[in-house]
Amino acid sequence: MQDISQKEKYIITQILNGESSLFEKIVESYSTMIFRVAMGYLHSKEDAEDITQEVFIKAYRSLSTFNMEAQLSTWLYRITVNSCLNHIERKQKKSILSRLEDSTWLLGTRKSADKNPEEYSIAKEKAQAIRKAIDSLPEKQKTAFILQKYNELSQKEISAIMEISEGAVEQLLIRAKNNLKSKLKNLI
Amino acid sequence: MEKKDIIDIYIDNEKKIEPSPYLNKRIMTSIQSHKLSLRHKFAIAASIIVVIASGILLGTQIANDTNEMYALNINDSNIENLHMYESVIE
Repeated sequence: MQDISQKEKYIITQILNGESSLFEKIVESYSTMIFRVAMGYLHSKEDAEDITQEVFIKAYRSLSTFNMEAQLSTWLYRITVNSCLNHIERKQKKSILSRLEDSTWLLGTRKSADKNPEEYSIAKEKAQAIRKAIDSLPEKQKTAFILQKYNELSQKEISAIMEISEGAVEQLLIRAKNNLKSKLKNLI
Repeated sequence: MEKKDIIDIYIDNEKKIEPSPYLNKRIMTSIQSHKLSLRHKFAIAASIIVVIASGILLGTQIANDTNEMYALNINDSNIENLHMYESVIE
């Protein structure tokens, strides 16, 4: 695993010395990465943006605890995963707005204004089923699955983030895929 | 496999969703606000300390000043002699 780059070390050191404006460099580098993880967990653009903001605020406040032995991205991924899991716990019930969010996925797939309403309805049901299946995965399987699928991380990178062996990551991914296959077996 | 393709399509569509172009600015603003709020709290705390300290100092000063007693010098012998008037009336 690569160590933190010298540039990032310098930026972090300067931020800790009072140059807080340099934190913008970290935000620019990692905001999309964090947003994508949050989308995998929350499936809502607004929630994902809120989590992204929350993650950077947490990172800024606890920057002095970052030991610079691991990559900054690994540390940020961990904060993101924990923040997403906490957010899901806080969210008790599915709101009407979040049901409407399922439609945003479909907006990207509608290619013409005269798309068959029946096809649209079927696509919407499929989207909801897939989302539900991903959300119902056990926590560690979901984390490994999201990091691989949404952020295209390698098993090595995922193992560093989750602090487990690469073999354990592989097992989690296999189980996640089997679980999804099983949950979506009725989906045509 | 069709089911896997469906999942991959779903994920690919979610990955296409981009964050707001103002998100980074919003993040930095919230961080700066957090910094200002800390400074603000320190400023308020410092002001309160200054006010309390000033109050104690002023109070101590006033208490010291009022410790000097101004005695009323009343000389009873200087009070008007009423006997003089009594002799006139008679």
